[in-house]
Amino acid sequence: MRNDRLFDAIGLVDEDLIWEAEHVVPEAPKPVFAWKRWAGAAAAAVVVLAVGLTIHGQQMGKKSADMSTAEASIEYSSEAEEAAAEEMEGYSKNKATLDDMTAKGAEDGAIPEAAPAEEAPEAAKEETAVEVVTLSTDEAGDLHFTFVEGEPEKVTVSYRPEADDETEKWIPVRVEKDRLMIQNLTLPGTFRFEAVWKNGQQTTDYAYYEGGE
Amino acid sequence: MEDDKIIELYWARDEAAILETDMKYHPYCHTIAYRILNNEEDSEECVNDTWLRTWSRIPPERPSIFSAFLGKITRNLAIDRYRRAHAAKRAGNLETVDLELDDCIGRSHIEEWMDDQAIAGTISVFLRGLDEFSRILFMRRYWYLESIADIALRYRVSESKVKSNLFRTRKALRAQLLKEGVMV
Repeated sequence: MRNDRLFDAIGLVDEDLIWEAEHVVPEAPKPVFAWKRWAGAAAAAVVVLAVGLTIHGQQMGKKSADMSTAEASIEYSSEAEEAAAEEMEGYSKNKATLDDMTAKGAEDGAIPEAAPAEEAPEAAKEETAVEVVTLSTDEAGDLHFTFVEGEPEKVTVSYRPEADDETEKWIPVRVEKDRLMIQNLTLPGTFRFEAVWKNGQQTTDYAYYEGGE
Repeated sequence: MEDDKIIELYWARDEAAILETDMKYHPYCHTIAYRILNNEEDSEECVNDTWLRTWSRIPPERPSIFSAFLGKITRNLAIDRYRRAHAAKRAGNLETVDLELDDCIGRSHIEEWMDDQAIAGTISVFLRGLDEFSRILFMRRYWYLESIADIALRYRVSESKVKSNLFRTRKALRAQLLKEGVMV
């Protein structure tokens, strides 16, 4: 089908869509990507903090129990010592359980509740069309990229002309700092940015490029 | 004046209908025409043609959304005018041959229009499945022919955001049209 036919057909779309585009001011999608990432990290931090506080609380309890036991052994009978010993045994079991949990969390890379932090970018990418990487051209005509959320540890960039959309052929692009070392690009096309962040998270984002910006 | 009342004037064959329409919708229709024709005089003529076309279509039609009804007429008239102007410049070569070969295919304008209606139906369904932001961006760009820069300014987003959003929408539309067997 020729473009002009498609153009004509677009002209015949339902009238409420035409009205909507003239009268409704849409809200740009919120950066869900960032929100999820930080929410995941915050959830992990809260869990770690909670576990830390619990252990700390147990240790304080242990000190208190020590003091109680000492006082009790002076003032009362050996029955009190036994009771205190049982209490300590209970604490040891609890502490072991908590230590296990912490160790397990560390082995998994995070406490179980923190798992969404790694899943978030992929899911969010599907949910919304949110810009994560912006492209700009400097005075010399060189193309630069910027991550909206900060600077990742490592970035691998590749490019695919729009004409090759049906294929999965991505052309590697050399990067110097934030500059894309490109020559003779077939326009328009899409840049793919595979980033590794400080927290070990890996993300893949895309930026459409028509040239001349 | 309310749209309903203006439409009533058309139904009563009262010429005040055209005056009222012009007062209320001249800027809207002129903008649509100008974005296609990029010429003040042609756009003005196109708007006047819109009023005449509207006069001939109401009655029997009774548009539910008057502004969109007028916008559609203006857009179609402006596109026709643009194509005629460009075909005339290319007369004697490819464009003429192309038109002649259309006869061989034996497809009438009515048939073409019916095909376009079917495709438009598919596109409408597709657009309703998009989020509001993407849908409106698509319409601003491909129905109203607004520039990327103007769209970005209108919705206070970056141009690259508009471009990437439109790119994704175009890709999705292409997939949808292929799925529906529309694209050859």
